[in-house]
Amino acid sequence: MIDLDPQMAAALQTFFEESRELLQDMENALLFMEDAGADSERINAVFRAAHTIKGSAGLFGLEEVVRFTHRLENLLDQIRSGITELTPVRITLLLSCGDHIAGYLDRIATESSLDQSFLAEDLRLLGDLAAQLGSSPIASTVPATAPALAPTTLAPTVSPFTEPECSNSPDSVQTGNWHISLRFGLDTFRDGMDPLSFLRYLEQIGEIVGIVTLTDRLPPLSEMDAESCYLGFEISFKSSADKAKIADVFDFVKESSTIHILPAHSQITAYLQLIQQLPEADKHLGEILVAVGSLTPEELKGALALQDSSSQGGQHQPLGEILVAQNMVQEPVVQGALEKQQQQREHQVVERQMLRVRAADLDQLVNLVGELVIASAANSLYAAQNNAEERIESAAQVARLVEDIRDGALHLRMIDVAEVFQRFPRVVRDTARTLGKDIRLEISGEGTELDKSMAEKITDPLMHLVRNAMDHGIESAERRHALGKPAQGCISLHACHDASGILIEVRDDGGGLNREKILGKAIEKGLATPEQQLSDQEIYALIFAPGFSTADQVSDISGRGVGMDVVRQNIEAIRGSIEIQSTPGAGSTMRIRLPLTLSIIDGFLVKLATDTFVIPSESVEECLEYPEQQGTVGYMVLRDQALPLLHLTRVFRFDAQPEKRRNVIVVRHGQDRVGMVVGAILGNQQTVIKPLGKLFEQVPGISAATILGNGDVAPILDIPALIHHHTSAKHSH
Amino acid sequence: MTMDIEQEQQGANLQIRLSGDLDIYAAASLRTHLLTMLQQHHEIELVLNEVAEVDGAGLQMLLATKAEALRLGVILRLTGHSVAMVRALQLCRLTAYFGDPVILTREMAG
Repeated sequence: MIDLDPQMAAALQTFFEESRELLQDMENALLFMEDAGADSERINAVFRAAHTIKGSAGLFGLEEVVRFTHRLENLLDQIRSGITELTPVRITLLLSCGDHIAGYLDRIATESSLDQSFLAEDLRLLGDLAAQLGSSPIASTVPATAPALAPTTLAPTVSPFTEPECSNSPDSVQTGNWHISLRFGLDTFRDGMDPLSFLRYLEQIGEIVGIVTLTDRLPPLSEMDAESCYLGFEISFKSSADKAKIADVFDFVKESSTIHILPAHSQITAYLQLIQQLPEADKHLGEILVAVGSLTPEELKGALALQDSSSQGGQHQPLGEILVAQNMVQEPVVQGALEKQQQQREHQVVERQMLRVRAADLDQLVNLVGELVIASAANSLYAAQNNAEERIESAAQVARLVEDIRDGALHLRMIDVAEVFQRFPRVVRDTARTLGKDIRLEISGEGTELDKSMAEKITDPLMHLVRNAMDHGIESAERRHALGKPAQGCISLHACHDASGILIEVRDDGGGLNREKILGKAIEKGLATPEQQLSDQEIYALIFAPGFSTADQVSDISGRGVGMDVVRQNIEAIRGSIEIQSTPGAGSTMRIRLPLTLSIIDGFLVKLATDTFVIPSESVEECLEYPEQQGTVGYMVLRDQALPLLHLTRVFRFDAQPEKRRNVIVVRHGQDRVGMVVGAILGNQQTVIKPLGKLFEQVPGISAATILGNGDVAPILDIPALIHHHTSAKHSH
Repeated sequence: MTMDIEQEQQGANLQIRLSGDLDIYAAASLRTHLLTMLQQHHEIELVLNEVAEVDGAGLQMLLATKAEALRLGVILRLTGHSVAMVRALQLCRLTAYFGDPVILTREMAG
């Protein structure tokens, strides 16, 4: 599509990200209003989102997006001004339009072409938009395509959305927009500046609502110096930026040019002084201010009358005094404007304080910190070997700082789980409609943070679980009624920190899992045998087996039987686990446990013969001495309970003689507990997870490796796999 | 890209084709040229479809040319606006001032 230099390409990337955020805001607002009814604040938010996207898209020349968003904006504008009501049908249409814009952005981002079905959707939505659009005088057209008349004076195009907002004091003007007067200095071009680029930049921090290009200073062609700048602009500017930020735009020309920036709702006297100060004839300038949309005709009349009365008194203020007066006037006015915009601003300021960082840079940093952790461990080790007290102490201090840095670096990658959850209201809404069920979504546990890379990978499995719960879990309204349950079903998403990681729950208040049906199906599919004695847990876990599906009807939503095993695989791929709790008639809960981070773990170092192995500390429950006298090999008795034992030397086929002193590490995964029989215990150490190369990927029982302080490589045991291997081996015997 | 000026007489109409960047570097020579043409012709068409970039100086030159044409009673038309030209006019909301129809091409929409 468009050829862009690197800087523009980066800006375009930012545009994509911001637009997606705006679309998300828009969706949230629409969904909220669908439940709670329309309110003007949210309608405005939706309008602003669409408008900002349109403006930015125009900046990048994405005319298709501009064209579509413009139509959308027309409808929104009508809704905003109360001409058209925000009905559920329209909400659905607006949501689809949001999706469609997202579709545009995705296609532009991936440089893929607009296919037939997309264009068909385009036409359908435009048709629907047109149908919803009442016949109203407000309907505006794209400025560029407007058949231009040929007036002899400068005719500004004032957008239809300049209708005055409520003013906050009787003396202040109605408009809530900033007013900017620009008179570029003669040398602007020669200094290498281009007035147009300032305007373009202004459009990035707000919206140019009205603009008049002034040519009063432009000499006749025969006399003008082509390299001098005679341009001036009067601009009505809508932005939540503060005055400093707007003034910053003109930083490079502030010495050589005349720039006035009047805040929103300025006192009418401030405008009067502006009119007096600027070189153009007062009346002419006043009309321009009206044309731009900064003053209403009544306000201009009032201002000019005020001016007349003061000059009749023979006290025409000299320029210097006016300047002083202006400074005095402006302060409270700015204050007032600030207060008015406070609420809206607060939110945006929070956003602005965020810094966008490339995820790859962050990964690089975390990798380096990982290396630092290893180096620091080595440092401590050598210090301890030399037994030099000062060195041990300083090494300990370095280690502590490195730990802090590690925590800080990892924290950088953390995002709020709310970001994962935010797309679910829409999913639940749409799925519920498709299924013809009435289902509400409850979300709790926002504020729980998880690693960004994990957040990305958990979304799909969660999506599947939610859809599955809605489809299979929650009964039809009739059935719920018959059971005496509320007609509206409920899906809840919950997140919290668990001792060793993060817990995410998908809960439904449906019928619960049907134990017999699952077992029957599993036997039919050869996943279980009728003779097996299986606990409820084990039976529920069968639904995660490949190719298992209990839906009688294959529906669009779920039930293709390819889902649940993929869900489990995806969760296990990020070292997580999933378990099911279900109560017949009352609903079921899918509980996903995730580790805090994917790159560093606290490891428990053990020896097998001469090699060191790492057991993730999060799985370790306790350590005991191996009861050599006990006589049995497969289990031991621990506090009157049998604990199955796993001899790691056998699992990994070590030929070495049994060691003299052996230990048992009790590890837990989900409900299962196993005792691992190992040699010496070396203690806890932070370990950086290094993925295994292709060659070792398939080694059972080992998930990754780490490098120890002394440079040795130590495999990290894959506890879930080992336990699973052990328990399934037990079943088959 | 430096600016090239080509022109062709079509009956009463003098067609002046501007191609390249309509910017500060082109402004001085363009001023001299347009000034001469405005004094010699009654109907001038500026063809702008080859205009690659427009800056403030270029836009200002068009404004001055338009003003001069109005003063002299010369018919001045701007035609075939390129994407860059349309954007510059839109940015300053000057499309209506020049009063010439602007046609959005497929290329601009893509």
